[in-house]
Amino acid sequence: MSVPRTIDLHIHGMTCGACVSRVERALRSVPDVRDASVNLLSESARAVVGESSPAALIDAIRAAGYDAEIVSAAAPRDAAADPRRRELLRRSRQAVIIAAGLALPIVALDHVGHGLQATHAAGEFGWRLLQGCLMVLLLAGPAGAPVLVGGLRAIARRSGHMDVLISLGVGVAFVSSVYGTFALRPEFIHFHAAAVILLLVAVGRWLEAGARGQTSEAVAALARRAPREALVRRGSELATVPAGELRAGDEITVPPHHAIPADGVVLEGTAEVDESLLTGEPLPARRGPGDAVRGGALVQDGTLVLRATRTGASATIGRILRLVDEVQAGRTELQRLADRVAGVMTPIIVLVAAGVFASWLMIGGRGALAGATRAAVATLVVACPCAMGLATPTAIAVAAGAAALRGILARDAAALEALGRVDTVVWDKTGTLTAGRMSVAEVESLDAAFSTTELVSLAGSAELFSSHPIGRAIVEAARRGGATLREPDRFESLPGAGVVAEVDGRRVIVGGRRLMELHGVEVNTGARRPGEQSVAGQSVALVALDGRLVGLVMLRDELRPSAAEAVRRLAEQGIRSVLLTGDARAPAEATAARLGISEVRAEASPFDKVEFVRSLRAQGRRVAMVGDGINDAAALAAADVGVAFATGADVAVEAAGLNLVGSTPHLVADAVALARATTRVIRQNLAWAFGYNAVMVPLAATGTLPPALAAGAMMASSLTVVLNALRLRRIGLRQARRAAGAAVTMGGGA
Amino acid sequence: MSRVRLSISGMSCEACVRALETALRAVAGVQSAHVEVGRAEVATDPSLVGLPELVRAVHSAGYELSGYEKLSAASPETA
Repeated sequence: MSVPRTIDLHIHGMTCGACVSRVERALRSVPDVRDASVNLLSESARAVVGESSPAALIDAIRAAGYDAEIVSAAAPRDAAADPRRRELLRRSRQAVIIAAGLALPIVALDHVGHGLQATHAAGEFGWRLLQGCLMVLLLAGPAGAPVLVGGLRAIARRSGHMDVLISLGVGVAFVSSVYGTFALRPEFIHFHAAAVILLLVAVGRWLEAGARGQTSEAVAALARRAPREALVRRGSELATVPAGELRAGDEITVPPHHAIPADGVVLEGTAEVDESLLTGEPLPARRGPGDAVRGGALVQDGTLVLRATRTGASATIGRILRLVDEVQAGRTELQRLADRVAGVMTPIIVLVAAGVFASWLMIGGRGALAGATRAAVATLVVACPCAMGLATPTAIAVAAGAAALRGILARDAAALEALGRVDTVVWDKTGTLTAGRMSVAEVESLDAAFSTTELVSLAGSAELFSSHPIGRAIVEAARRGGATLREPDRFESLPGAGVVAEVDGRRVIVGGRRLMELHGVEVNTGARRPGEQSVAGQSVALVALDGRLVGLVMLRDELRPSAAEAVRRLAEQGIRSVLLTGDARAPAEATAARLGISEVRAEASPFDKVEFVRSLRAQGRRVAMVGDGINDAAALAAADVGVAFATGADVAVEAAGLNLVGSTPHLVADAVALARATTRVIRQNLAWAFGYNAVMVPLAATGTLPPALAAGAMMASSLTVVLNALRLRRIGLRQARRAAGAAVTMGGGA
Repeated sequence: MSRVRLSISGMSCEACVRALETALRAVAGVQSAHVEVGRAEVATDPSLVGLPELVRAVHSAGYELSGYEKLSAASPETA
């Protein structure tokens, strides 16, 4: 037994949904392949195998009539795919030009032919012959040959393929035309139709190549951000090293206006760092010694020297690319169905076309032969299994790319789908709506000799070197109020209780009731705040000076800047927010009230959280659970879809279907909006693809739709689907953030 | 010269001791640093280095400051 491993392949020669199922079948037929999924858009396949070698997979794919090569796991594929895509675009444009150069004269000659028909039969034969010769050139050229070869190959393998329909259609039209030319039966001549079909197919492929390139634009933008080289200190000198060879522990110098090549910790220097491409956060943040930075972020000014912690594929940007890639390669249930339909549709259409041909002859007798040919050709050409094959993957690819650019990383396509159906968002309070930071809400002096400023200054001095959230909140409030802070001569931090310090020879105690009582400080001096004191040590800090209580500092959870807005925007989309927290009821309800959340479940243990999520689902609600992924992993997994705020360098919380790199609540609202739009686009696309075929095939079968128009309709159908998916890039996701909110974020990072 | 005793949480073994000792000695102005599990005694040149730098060194080495006491600075003991 060996451990299953994943092999990524780049597949050449796939053109539509039918190819996907064909390649997938080929991979699965290799013994020992446990799973295989194929992505048409990125032309890639991923197989999970036991002992099989990549060579066996490639052989299987070649036997199926395609070609493949190994993609190394370390190098993000999309960066390499770029030149290939440009080459494809160049070639398809060339095919269009050549096809146009030949097809236009053929169509023009058709009119000449019609003009001569009445008067000059011999002359017409000459023109028709010329038309036929041009047609042969067109068939053999770059617009015709690949389609015919592809079609013939597919027929030989008895597999469904878009090219089969086109080849059969063009072939029948051509044979019929040749017969018409020599038999002097102009009603059998369809050179112009065959020419227009090939031209339109070429145009369609060209436009599609361009549009498909755009679906992975976002990923390409990310991949471009991953620098190829890095300046590394080796011994006493700086050496330029390919980014792929960086190792954790390397000391990397990043000059101004350069992208950071790996995740790391700043050793020297400070700089404004722009992480917008990783997190969607538009404002750069100041980073200095000790701060963590992410690979792919852009250094704006100043030079940073950092120690690499994660490099290459394991760095943030590498893992983001990997995740996006996986989403684009993965498929939803809907899509599996569509792919299967597209796969069987080709033979069905061939049968339908044969049936159409036979019916025409049966109804009209031998005289209907010309009409039967026309109708059969139109039927072959108008059917568009491609639209069905493209409907879901283009939408998912565009959405996953657009989401990644904003710091929303879906684990798989199904997670995006699930998020689109959600009607309830449960927020695990700490780390999502609140930053896990506190801020001073109110200061009250109990001694007339102290102003509130003096009180904060006293408490701030005592807490100067405290790393507890309460201490930092008090220090920050003191600094903001312009208080002078004195360095204590002695300082002791007592976990869960408070601090005891000696400031200017006087003993200052800041903390909860228990700590005061321990030091003999009289607490019941009248000024009581019942509601808040119930959470002693959490939301009220008492301040004592030389054994006497002199004041109170009220603290509250600091909300993340966009928390209230996220809740409001979700409400606008008809989604209820629920606050879930382990905190006491009173502060939880206070926080909920500030956010406009009416449903609160407080004092919940991790086990209670899971039960709560389950009970909501039992009521028939579709639940997205938002958490920081640290102590709520079980609840995330219990929800219809788990959304994790990926903190630090961790971009992928396993239990979550979606990871938000930006750690801002409004991303949840963005993600829901995008997921809904994606689901909508997929539905529209599938409805379009099925509806189109349902309407157009009968029209072609009855001869209402001439072959050339049928080709145009087929091309338009494919393009409609792709263009509709591309709209997702422009879904109005909010980018700008309130300046105040950003300032809070930046202050906290300092 | 001034001396300060730091109480540190998060240390568990000799490796931590060495790491913190290295970190503290790397701070400019630190004349000597003696580290044990949970505590450190540091002698500094007060014109070059103060508590903020020492605390930062402790933090960036991955530990938490749980308290400190200035030893030789003129600080009369009050109850």
